[in-house]
Amino acid sequence: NQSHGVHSRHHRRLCVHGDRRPCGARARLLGVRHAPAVALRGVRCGRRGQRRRLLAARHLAAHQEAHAGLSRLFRSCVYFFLSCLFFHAVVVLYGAPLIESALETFSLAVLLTSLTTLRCLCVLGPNVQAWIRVFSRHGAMSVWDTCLQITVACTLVGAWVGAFPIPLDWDRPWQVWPVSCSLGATIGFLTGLVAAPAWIHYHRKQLTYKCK
Amino acid sequence: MKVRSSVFASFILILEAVGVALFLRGFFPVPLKSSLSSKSKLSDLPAEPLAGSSPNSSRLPQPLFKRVVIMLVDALREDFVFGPNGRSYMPYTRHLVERGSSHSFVAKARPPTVTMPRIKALTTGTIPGFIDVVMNLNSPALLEDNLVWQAKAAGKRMVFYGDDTWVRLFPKHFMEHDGTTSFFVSDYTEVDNNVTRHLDSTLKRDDWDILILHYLGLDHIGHISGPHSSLIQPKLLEMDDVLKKIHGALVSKEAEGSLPYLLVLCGDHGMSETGSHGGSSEPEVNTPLVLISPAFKRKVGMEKPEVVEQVDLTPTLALGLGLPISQNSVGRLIPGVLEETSLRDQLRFLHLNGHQLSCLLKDSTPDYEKEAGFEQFRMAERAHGSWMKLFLEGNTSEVLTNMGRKVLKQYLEALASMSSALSKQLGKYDMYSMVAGMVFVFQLLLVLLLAMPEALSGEATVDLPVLSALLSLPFYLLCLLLASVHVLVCTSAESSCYFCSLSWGLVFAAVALSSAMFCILISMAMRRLPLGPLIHGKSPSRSSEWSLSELDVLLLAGTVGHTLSLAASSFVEEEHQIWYFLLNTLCLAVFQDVCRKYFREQSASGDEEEPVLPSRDCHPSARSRAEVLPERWLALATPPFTLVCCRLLRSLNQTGVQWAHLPDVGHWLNSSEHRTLLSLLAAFCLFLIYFLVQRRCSWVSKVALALGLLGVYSYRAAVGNVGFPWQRSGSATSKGTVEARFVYVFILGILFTGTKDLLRSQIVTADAELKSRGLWEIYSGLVLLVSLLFRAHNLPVLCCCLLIQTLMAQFIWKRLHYDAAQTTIMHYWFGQAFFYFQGNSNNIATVDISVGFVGLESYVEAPAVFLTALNTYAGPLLWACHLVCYLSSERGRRSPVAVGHGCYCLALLRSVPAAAYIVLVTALRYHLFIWSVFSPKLLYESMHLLLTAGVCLFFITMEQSPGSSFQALMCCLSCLLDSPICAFVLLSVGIFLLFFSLCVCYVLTYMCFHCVCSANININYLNV
Repeated sequence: NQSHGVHSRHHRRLCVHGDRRPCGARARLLGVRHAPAVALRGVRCGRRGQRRRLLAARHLAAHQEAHAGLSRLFRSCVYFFLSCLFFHAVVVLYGAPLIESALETFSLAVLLTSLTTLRCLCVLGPNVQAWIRVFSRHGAMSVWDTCLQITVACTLVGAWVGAFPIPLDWDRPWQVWPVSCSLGATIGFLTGLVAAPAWIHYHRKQLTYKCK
Repeated sequence: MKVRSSVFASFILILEAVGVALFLRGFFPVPLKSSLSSKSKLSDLPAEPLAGSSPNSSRLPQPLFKRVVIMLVDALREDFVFGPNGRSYMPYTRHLVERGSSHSFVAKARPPTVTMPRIKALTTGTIPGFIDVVMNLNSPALLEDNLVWQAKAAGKRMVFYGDDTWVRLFPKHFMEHDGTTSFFVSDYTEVDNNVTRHLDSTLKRDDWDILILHYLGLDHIGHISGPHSSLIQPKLLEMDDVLKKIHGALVSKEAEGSLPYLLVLCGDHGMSETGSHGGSSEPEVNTPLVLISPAFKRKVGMEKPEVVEQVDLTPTLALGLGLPISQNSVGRLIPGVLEETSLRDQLRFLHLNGHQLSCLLKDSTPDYEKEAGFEQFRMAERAHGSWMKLFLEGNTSEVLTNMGRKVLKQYLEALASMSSALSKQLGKYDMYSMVAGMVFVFQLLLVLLLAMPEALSGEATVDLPVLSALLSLPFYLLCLLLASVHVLVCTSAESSCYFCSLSWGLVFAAVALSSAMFCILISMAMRRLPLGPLIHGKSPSRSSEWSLSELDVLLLAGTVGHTLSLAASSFVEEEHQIWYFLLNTLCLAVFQDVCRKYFREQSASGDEEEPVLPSRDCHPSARSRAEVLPERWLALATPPFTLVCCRLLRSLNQTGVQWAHLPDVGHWLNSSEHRTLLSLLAAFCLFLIYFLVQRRCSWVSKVALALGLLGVYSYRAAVGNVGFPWQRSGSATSKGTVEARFVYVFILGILFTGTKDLLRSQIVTADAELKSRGLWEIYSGLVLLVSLLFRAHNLPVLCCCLLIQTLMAQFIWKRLHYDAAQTTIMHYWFGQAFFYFQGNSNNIATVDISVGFVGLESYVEAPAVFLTALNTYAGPLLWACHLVCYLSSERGRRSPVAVGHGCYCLALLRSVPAAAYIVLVTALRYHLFIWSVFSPKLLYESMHLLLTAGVCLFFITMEQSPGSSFQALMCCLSCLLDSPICAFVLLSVGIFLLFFSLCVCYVLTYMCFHCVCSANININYLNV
């Protein structure tokens, strides 16, 4: 986590500097970690070849960004899919029919994934250590973490509670398997969206807005 | 008085069981009884209205039928005859229904749809109470007024072949009988052949008037493979052939001039989509009723059969045979049967039925005059009288016929409303006993709850202020108050009340106990209340001590949520879903705990190690790493493995109501094509059971266990569930008595060894290891017994149970340091889930009665009941016993009071839902599903309570060395002797006061009653 955070922060700074003082040609040799040094050196660079360097730096940054972004995107997609499979397995273990309505069950898994995992992927990235930190007890540091924690918990509890009406003999259309659970998950998520700001407001002294 | 928490918990549980028993006695209503004489007689019959002074006025009209054949097919569903498949299932019957001279009806059976209550309903015409189901196993002779008795008294000669329940219900009533027992469910050909073999000779003879045949084969097929199996059609065709044979014989015997015959085809109950019965679903309740007689009109085509009540057959048959209707019958005559008789006879029959119903109504309801039906009947009777007057005058005009039809209609309406009023009456409750039981149970529950901080403390002893309660003034006042309430209620109650009919000594003991409990309750509550402000300094530490983890929250919320869910009938029907759901959540929570432990520990140790690496020697952690690694993975794998096991077991037996019809693995395994697979599975499971259980036993028990499990397999092979590889599949099956007894010998041997070890460890040497071995041996004896009783396809349940227990004990409960309370709650949840995994439900129909015959030649009550109870509650019992073994074998390493804590938690876990359920049932007593859903659950709950009390007694014996209970007794005695004079004086004063108040109460009540009576009489005078 630590190295990743540093990496991205420097990366961003490099891009910012590269825009104003284009001197990033050496960045390839020095590596991104020494970007501040590159930037400092860039101040001392002459006017000559300024335009060429600017183009090269832009190209490099875009290339690196695209490369890293692509691999992250790919990993995120894999995580998304794995999470779908995980939710599907858990739901089947909870007693959903294995073969009969597999598609419906999988839809519920996708819904749960997009309400929980997708948000985590967006905020934390495909970074397992960060996830473990956020979702362990007393692990949330910032408002973002808290918000994630609350919405994920609310979604899961909502889906859990949503299973209760299924055995009742009311014969309503929404009691059919995964409908009530999906409704529960969605309602839980919405509750989480309302509850998280409230919680954050109440505990605003202890929380920071920094994205660690 | 200081009591250990296990003793305290068991004491409370036993008392609660008594309270629940009282409640049950009040809840299950006593059936309607006419108060006049025990049996109705011909001479009691009312005269025909205004029939003049003719001598035959109180005589019954001419009987309609000479001979009656009742063919009762067990579990004959309505759609087997009238449904779309009826034409292929029962072609001859269907032909008769459509074209012959017959009447066909759909007869609604009342729940419980079990054979014996249904037979009682068919013969007495009453709707037997739910409690009859419990009496189903040992049916004593039917003492109520019934059709068979009436027929016998009238000199009819009866012949009976079929289910021997009839023979036990009506001993010496039949001229000739041959009973077949219904308990060998796997046999569905022999039971019916035993009935049919007599048929030819009997039908040829002329020396009988009533022939009753009860065929059981269809019911057995239903139990084995359900209503859609391939066995159904041949069986129904066989039944159809029998009916054809009887009908042919009756037709050929019929002579001109004599009365016609009547052939009745009926079912006692239907079968559900899984093939069981007992509940109140449509297919279980709807049975066909086909009456075939030349006295009826020929039918011209299939009509939609009319719906009647099953009890309506009783008065119809009685009047058709010229017998008086049995006194307690609530049925009404089926009017279609009478259509070919004269109007005068029709009216006379209806009048008789109406008179009988009105008499019953008078006896059973205090304000019968307000009933609409009664009024209608009076009017109809008057109209009948005037019709008779006209009729006797010789009037034969159209007007008379029309008037007669009107009277007929009036009668029918009156009968319908009286009958429904009477059926409603059957749900009358003895509220006083119920309330008394409920109050008692709740007091005990509150005492149990209030003692929680002490019982779960490090000492595990509860300080019960018994003496101070007994010697306090409120105790005597309460005694007086309760006694006077009792006297008041009992003298003013009109209906019979069980609690009032108890002897005075018992009631006084109950009153004293109840008020003592109340005083104890108050003093304990007082002790709790000022505790907070008094020791204020301590409270913060206390609150931090009681902080709850997620697991605790889940355990508490689950227990409370389950208790609340009992209020909904669907949740009671589908209770297994709740337990599976909770169990899954529990496993996930445990999984999270395990993950947290191992991953967090790792990261924490990693964080710590980096800065202090040189100072700390890393050899302990390195050593533990190497050892811990596989262990950690096993620990991590245990909860998912448990989850997978639960999922597999869940699809083994589909229970409940809504999804019970879905195909499950159990049925699939039991079908004859998969016998090899079932054999392999059973053998594998038995092997695994041996492997899991033998580890902690002595070598003698190991050998006995191995031989016993072999015996179990050969028993299953002998019964025909599984096969040996060298055995041909078509070989004859036996009862397997020898094999089962062989296993019993080993079970007794193992239990004996275990008990011996336990006794030695308690008396001779205080050896913890010996004790734990003895315990585990007793446990393995229990496992062996259960594996003998379980059906072959249920052996995986037992196997998974043992596997999960072993893994959880090894890797979860020990490693994660769960305390006794948490472990107990988890055990309880697992026990509940396994109760349903083995195929049980909250319906009486799923109790496997055939278990009561394992190793027995015939029905013997005590072992049969014991074995059935053991088999039904095998899951909870195994888990509770495992809890005892686990806690007491872990005791050396953990706190020494774990057993006491466990016992207390178990008692609390059991008594909370039981007490809550009693209240719920009382509140819902007029619910539509009270008989079909809530009452069976009530029986299950109370039975479970009783068993848990037994387990708690086992806990006591395990808790401590033998000296301590003796010590407690001595302590109690010495306390009593401390102030003998004071106690004596107070006691005598109390008794004197009590008697005085009783006298006053009695006099007051008597006077009040007298005043009210005289006032009533005065009012009556005024009215007249």
